[in-house]
Amino acid sequence: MGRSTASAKPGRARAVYAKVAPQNVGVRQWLRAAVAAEMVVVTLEHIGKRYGAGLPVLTDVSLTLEPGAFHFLTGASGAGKTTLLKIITLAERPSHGRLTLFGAASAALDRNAQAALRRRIGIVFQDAWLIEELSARDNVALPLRIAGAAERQIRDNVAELLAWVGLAERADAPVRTLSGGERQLVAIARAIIARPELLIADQPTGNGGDETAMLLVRLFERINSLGTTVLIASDDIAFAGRFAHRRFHLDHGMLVDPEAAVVQ
Amino acid sequence: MIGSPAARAGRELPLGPDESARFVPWVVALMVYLAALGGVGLIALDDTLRASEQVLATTLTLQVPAETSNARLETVLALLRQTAGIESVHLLEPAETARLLEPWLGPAVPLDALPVPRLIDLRTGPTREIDVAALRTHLAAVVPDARLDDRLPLPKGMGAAARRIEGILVGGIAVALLLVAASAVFAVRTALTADRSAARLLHALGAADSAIARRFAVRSLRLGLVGGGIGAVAVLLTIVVLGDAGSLVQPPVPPRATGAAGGAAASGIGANGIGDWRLWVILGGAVLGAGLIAMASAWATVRRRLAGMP
Repeated sequence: MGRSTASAKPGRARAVYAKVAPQNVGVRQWLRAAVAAEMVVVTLEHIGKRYGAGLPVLTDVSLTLEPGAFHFLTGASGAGKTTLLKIITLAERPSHGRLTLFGAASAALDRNAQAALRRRIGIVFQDAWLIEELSARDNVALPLRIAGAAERQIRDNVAELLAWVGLAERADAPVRTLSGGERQLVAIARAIIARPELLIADQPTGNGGDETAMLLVRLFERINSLGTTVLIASDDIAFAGRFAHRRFHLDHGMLVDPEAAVVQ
Repeated sequence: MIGSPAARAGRELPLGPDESARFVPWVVALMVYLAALGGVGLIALDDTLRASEQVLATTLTLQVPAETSNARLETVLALLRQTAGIESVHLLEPAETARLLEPWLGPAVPLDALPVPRLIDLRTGPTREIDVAALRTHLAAVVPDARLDDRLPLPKGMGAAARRIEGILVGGIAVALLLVAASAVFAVRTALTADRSAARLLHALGAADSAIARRFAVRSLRLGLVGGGIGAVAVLLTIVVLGDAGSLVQPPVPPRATGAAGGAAASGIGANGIGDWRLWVILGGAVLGAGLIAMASAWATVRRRLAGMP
C-alpha cells in the first residue's frame, strides 16, 4: 500500500481527470460549471428505511452534501451506514423520505435516468466487489465501458490511473491474485476512473492497518481536491476524528452529534 | 469503434464467468436434434401420405381371369386404350405378377400351376376423370368375370392416424423449443442469482438495463447457435448413417404401386436424403430458431430481474 500511494501525485491525477473531461473543456472550468449548475450534490430529507416487518434501520435521516465537500459517516457496526450509502447510491429505495441527487428527486426518475445518475457516482464497496475473473485493467475500465467510451480512451486512461495508484505492473493480473490492499486500490481506481462528481466509500480503511487507512484517506483527499465530493463511511470513530472533515454520526439509524459519539 | 456509446456498452460489458456455457449448448443441441428430426419426420410422413394418395387415386387395377383367351384379352386392352380418362394401360407379364406375389407365396411356389389372374395396370390423369361404372359395364360385356379395383383415397382411419402422428410430432417440436427457452432462462437466472454477480455490479455502476440485458441476450444467442449447430450436425449424421430419413416413418409402398408409382411414393426427403433442400431449411430454421429463442428468453428474464432491482 505504501508503495502504491507513494507514487500517487495530484498532478498526475489531474492529468488523468483532464483526459476523461469533456473535450475542449478545462477541468476547473468544467467543475465550476457543474458546481454552478447544481449547488447541492445530495440532499436527504427525513429518510427512513425498514426491511420488511423488521425494526427500522434508518429513522428520519436528513443531511446535505455540498459540492467539493469531504465528509465522514461514522457509526458502530449495524448503525445503518451501509444502508444509508445504498440509498444515496440508488441501490436501495428509502421506505420514506425524499432523496435529491444532483438536483433531481430520485423518486421521480425513470430507470434510465437513475442509471445515468449512478454513473455520476463513484463507489468503493465494502469488500471491493470486483469481477474476480477479470484483470485489474478490465475491472478499472468498467465505468468507462458502461459510459460507452472509445477503446483507445479506455486503454490510455486506465493505464495512467493504474500507474497513479501504483498498480501498473499488476494491470493484467486477474484480481483474484491480488492482495487485499491491491484489490482496494483497484476498487478506488474503478471508482474514480470516470471522474465522478460524488465518491462514496464504504469502510475502505477496514482491510488494512492504521498506516494504510491514513494513506487511503490522503488519497481520497487528493481526489477531493480536484472537486469531487467525498463521503467515507467508517466505524472507527476515533480515526475519523483525526481529520478536519465534517462528520455525520449514525446511532441506531439516527443522526446524532458526532462529538457526543466520540465521548461515548 | 462503430456504433453509439450505448450500443458499445452493451457489446463490451463483461459478465464474468459463464458457467452456463458448459451445459446450455448441449441441452440446446439435444432439443434441436429432436425438433429437427421431428420436422424431417413430418415432411417425410406428409410426402408419403400425399404420394400414396396420389398413387391410389390415379391408378386402377383390372383382374382378368387366368382362363381368358388372348383374343378377349386384346379386346379388353383395346377397350381400355379407347376409354376416355385412361392415360396408360400396362398388362403385367407373368414374371411381374410373380414378383408381386412372391412376398406372400414365396419363391418356390409354381405360379404356372395356379390360376393367377392377369393384371392390367391402368393410369388416369391427376383429376381422375373416368366413368368407372360405364367402364365396368363395357368390360363385363367382353369378360364377364373381370374385376376392376377402383382404388379410393386412403381409408379415413389411416389418414386420421397419420394426422395424429403429425400432431404428436408438432407437439414434440414445440416442447423441444420450449425446453430451449427454459434452459436459457435457467442459465440466466443462475448467473443473476449470486448476490455479488457481475450483472448486479454493472447495475450498481450505472449500466442501463438494456445494456446489461443485451449482453446476456448476445451470450445466449451465441450459446443457442452453437448448441443448434451441434444438434444440426447430429441430425445430418443420423440421416447419413441411416441412409434415408424417410425410412424412419415411411409405410410400405402399396404392392400395386410398382414402377413409376413406387418412385412417386418414395419421393421427398426419404428419397433425396441430405440433398433435399427442405432438410436444410429445417436445420437452418432449427438452429436459428434455437438461437433466437434463447436470446429472447434471456432478454426477457434479465429485464424482469433487473426491474426488481432498485
